[in-house]
Amino acid sequence: MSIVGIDLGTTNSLISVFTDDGPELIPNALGDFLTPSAVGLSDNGEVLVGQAAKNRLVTHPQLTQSRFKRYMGTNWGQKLGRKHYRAEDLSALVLASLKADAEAHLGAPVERAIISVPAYFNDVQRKATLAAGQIAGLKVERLINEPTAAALAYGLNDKEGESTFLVIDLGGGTFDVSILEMFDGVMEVRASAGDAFLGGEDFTDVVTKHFAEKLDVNLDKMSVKKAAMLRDLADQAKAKLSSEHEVSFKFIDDKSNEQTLSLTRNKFEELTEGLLKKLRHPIQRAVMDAGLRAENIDQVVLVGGATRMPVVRSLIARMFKTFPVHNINPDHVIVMGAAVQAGLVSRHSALDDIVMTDVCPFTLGTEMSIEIGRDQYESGHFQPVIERNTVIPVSRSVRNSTVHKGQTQLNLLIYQGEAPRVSSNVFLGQVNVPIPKNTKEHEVVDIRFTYDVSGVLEVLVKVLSTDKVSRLVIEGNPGALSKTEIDARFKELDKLKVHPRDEVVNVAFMARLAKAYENHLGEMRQEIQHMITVFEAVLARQNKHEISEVREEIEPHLKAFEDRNIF
Amino acid sequence: MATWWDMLEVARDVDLRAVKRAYAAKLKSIRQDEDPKGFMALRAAYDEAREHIRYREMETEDTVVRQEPFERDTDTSHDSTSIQDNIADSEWKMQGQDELIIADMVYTPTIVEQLMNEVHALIRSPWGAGRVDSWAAILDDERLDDIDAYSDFENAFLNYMLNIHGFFDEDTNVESKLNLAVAHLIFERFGWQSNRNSVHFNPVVYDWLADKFFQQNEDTPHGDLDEIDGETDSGANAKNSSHSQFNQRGQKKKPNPKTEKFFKWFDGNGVFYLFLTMIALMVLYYTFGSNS
Repeated sequence: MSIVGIDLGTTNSLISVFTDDGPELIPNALGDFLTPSAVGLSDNGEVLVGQAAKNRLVTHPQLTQSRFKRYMGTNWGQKLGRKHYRAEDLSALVLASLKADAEAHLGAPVERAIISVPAYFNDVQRKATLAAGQIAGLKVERLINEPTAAALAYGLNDKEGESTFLVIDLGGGTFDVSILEMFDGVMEVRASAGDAFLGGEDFTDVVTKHFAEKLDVNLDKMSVKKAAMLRDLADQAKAKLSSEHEVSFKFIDDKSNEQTLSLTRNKFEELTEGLLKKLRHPIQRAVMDAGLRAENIDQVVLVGGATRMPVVRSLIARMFKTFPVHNINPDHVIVMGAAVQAGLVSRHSALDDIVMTDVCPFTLGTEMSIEIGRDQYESGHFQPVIERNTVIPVSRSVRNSTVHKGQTQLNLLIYQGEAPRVSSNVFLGQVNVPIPKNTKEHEVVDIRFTYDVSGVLEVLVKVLSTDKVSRLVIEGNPGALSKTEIDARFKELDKLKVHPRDEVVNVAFMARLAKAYENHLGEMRQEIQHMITVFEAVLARQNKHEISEVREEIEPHLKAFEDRNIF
Repeated sequence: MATWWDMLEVARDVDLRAVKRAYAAKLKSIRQDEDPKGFMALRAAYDEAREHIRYREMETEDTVVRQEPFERDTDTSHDSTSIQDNIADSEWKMQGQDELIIADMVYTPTIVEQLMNEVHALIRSPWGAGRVDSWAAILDDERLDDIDAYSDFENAFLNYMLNIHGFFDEDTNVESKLNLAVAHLIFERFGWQSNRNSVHFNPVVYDWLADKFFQQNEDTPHGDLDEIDGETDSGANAKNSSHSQFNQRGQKKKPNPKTEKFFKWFDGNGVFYLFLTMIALMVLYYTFGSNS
C-alpha cells in the first residue's frame, strides 16, 4: 500500500504519491492539483472543502474558514454552524478531502502519509499537525520540513554532483530558508531559518489595507462580506501584478456604488517594503550560520506561490547577484518532495542511492536558575540542550542539580528559542519529576532531550542517586491536544456529513456564480441571476450528463464576467 | 569507543572528499528512523573527521602565509577575501576611538569600509550618538543588499562597537556611546537579540554589548531587551516555587563572569579567531609598518 505525500499549506494543499516514474501529483474532484485550504458548510449543513469553500468565503464568510494553519497548536477556534472547530479540526477536514481524492485516483484505501511542515514550526505546531493527521484517520509516518522537501524534489534531478544550494520557500503563511549540501547521493540540510508568520497572505493584507484607505473605509467596520470581497479582489490584483505593471478592478462598496480601484507595480513595491525587509533577515542568517559566501552557493531555488512576485525575485537577485532558479512549478515543489520522502520511507527501489539528513532548526532547552550569590538564585535563564542546526535524529543530555537540599519535586520547564532568558522563548511544556528527599546534599539529575526524524521532542530525566528514569511526554502546553482529545475529535469529525465528492464540482461552480453576482450590479447582476436559475433547474433534474453540459455552456459567460471585474 | 577513522574505515590522513564519500556509503546502510543510535555514532565520527581536516588545513595555511606575505589587494569590488575583511576588522579594533587608517589608502575603500567610516564619523560627531535617522540610513544602505557585503559589515560593526566600548581591553568603565533609541535600532536591525545563538558569534559578546547599551537608564543588573519578567528568588522563598529548580552544576559566582565565559568560549573557537587576527596583524605590518 502506498504512502502519500501531503503539502498542507496555509493557502493551498496538495497530495502526491511516489511511482516508478517519480513523484506524481494527484488531482482533486475538480481536476486541479491545488486544493484551497478552506473549509465551510454548505447551505444544508454539509462540510465543503477546497475551491467550493474558497468561493463561498466571499458570499458566506460566516460559514467558511481559511488560513487556519497559522493557528495550529493554539487555542484559537471558530464556530461553523453550531460546532466549534480548532485549527487541527479544520486541517483534518482538508486532509480527509485530499485522502478521498487520492483514494479515488489510486483505487485503493490510503492510510499512511508524509506531511510537510514549515521548518520553523515549533514542537507544539508539529504535534498539532500530527494530531490533525490522526483526526483525519491517517497514520502520519513522518513530518518533513518544507524546504527539505523542496530540496528532495530538486535534488533528484542531480544525484551525482556535489553542490550547495539555498532554498527560499515563501508560502501563503510561512517563510523558510534552508541551505543544503549534496554529495554522493546524500542531501544534507546545513542550516534553516525562517519566520512562521510571514507569507503571501501578508502581502495580500497590505494591499487590502491600501485599498481600504483609498476607499476611505475602516476594514474592521465594513461588513464581513464586503471585507471578504475586498480581500479577494486584492489577492487577485496581487497575483495579476506578477505579470502586469498595472491592475484595476471594480468593487461594489457598502453603499452599492461601483468603485474602480487600481494599483501599479511601483506602488506595490512601496507598500511591501517592510515585508521585504523581514524577508532578508532569515536569508542572511542562514547563509552566515552555514559560514558561506555568495560564491559558495551554486543555486538559489525558489519555492512557494508567493515567490512568483517580482518584488521577491528581484530582492533575491540583488542579494545574491544571480537569478534564482524555478524550474519546477513553485506550488508543486513541496508536495513532490513529500512524495520522494514517502518513497524513501517505503524503500522504493528507485531511491536506493539517496539519503537525506535534516537539522533541528531551533535551540531546545530548559529553564534553569543560576547562583548569583550565597544561596541566591536567579531563575528564568535558558539552558540550551540541543543547539539549533544540529543534525537529527539527535540525543543530548545535560547534568543539573536541584536548587535546594531536601527538594522533593522538580518542575522542569521546556523552551525553544535563541534568547538567553526563557521569557523571550517559546514555552513548549513542563514535566514534573519526583526527587528523593535528601536534606544533606543537592540531588543530581541528567536531562536527556531526544529529537526524532519528524522533529518531535522527547525528554528523559534520570535521578542519579536512584538511577530512576522518568520517560516524559511534554504535556500541559495550553495549545496542545492530548491523546484522548484527539480520539474524541476523530470520532466527532467522522460523524460529520461531508458533501459528496462527485457533486463538489457543481457546488464550486454555484459558488463561483454567487460570487460573480455579489461583484456586479444592475443588468449584469440580472444576467448572472439568470444563469444561477438555469443551473439550479438543471441540478434539480439530477441528470449528470445534462448538468455538465449546462455547466460548460455557462462557463465562458461566467468567465467573461469574472474578467470584467479585474483587468 | 571507535575512532572516526575506524568508524568511517578510512586512513587518518584522508582528504575531505574521501571522508564525505565514506560517510555517504555508510549512511546508505543505516536507517535513521530505525537505528538512531547507529546514525548518531556515524554522524559524530563524520563531524569529528571534518573538524580534524579543517584544523589540519588551517595549519597548512598558516605555513603558507608565513612564507609568502601577500600584497594588499587593490580590488575595489565588494567581494573581498575573508583575510582582507579581517584586516579591516583589526584596523578598527586597533584604532578604536582614534583615527581610522583610511587617509593614506591608495585604493578605493570597499563598501564595508566606506560604511564603517560613516559609522565612525557619526560616533565622533557631537550629536551623532542620538541621531536615529542617520544610523538608520547607514544600516538600511542599499549597498548592504548584497549578502556578502552585509555579512562583512555586521562583522565589522560588531567588532567596532565591542572595541570602542572596551571589550578587548577589559575596560568595563567605558560608558555607552549611543543613546537607547539608537542601541535598540541596532539590535533590532541586526536581529542580535532574537538570533543570539548564531554560530557566527558567541552569545557572550551580544550579552556584553546589550548590558553596555541598555543598562544605562535602568537599575536592573541585566538590562537586556528581553528581560521583562526576570525575577530573583532568594534561597528561602524559592523553596516551593515552581520556578528556579536548578542551578547549573558547578557554576559559582566569579568576580568577572563575562571574562570567564569569554575564555570558556575562547577555548573552543578562539584559536581560530586568534589565528585570523594574527594574520591580519602581520599583513598590516608588512603593508604599513615598513613605511612609518
